[in-house]
Amino acid sequence: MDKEFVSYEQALSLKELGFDEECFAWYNYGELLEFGNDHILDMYAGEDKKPVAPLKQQVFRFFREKYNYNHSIIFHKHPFGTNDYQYMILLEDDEYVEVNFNLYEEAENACIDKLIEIAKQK
Amino acid sequence: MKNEFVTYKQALALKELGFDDYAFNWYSTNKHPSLIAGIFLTINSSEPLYSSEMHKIGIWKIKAPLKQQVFRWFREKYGWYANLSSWIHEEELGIYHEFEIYGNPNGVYGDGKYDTYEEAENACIDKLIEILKQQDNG
Repeated sequence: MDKEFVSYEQALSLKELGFDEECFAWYNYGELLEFGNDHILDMYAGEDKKPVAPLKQQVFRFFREKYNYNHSIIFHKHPFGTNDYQYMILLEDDEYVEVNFNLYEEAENACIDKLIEIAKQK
Repeated sequence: MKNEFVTYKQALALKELGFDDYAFNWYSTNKHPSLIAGIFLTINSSEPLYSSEMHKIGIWKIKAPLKQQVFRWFREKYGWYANLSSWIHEEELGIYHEFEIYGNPNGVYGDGKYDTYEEAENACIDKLIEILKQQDNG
């Protein structure tokens, strides 16, 4: 289940950027907790160092809708049998590409980090 | 939150194809006389995860996969990679979205341009299901 959500560090950054959607889980000082298992503890979600934990797909939609940042995670099949992944971020007036990730999840994670970085610089 | 999940029709098809990952939410099925098929059974923060209502519904529900779960399932189980990408129109203003599916028995599959990412994503999931059904049916 944990692999569905962004990391704690990413969740903290997204909170700073104004991410405030309903989520299935939250981080309690870095520990991922699913909403609904402890209603008393859930009341602390959203406080300092206790951000909600967005799904990765929620984060990509957040950047599309709020910032108009469009991303792609691309699978590359190379002629000699090796495969890799790259991500691409399409902005209104610019584009970011990073290549040579072995796993989809690595490219996805790096893409989220880059989206956060671009948004923070804005 | 409902936008995070595949449609009821897709959920049914995926269940038939063997999808059985962790579920964050469920759809009711029409096998229970008091339920309407396709109702999204929301587990929200104000209700216990396993409420008495969920127990009553019992077997008359199916898992509602997240879209990201579905894409990962096809990657990990079948080696089928769905590239969803966004491009700037050359002739028009704005962005269009498209998908390509690699690694499937039919070769690379592409489906044209979509106005929104969600339309491309939904069409891609439908195509993945269709290709797998064709493969299973021989």
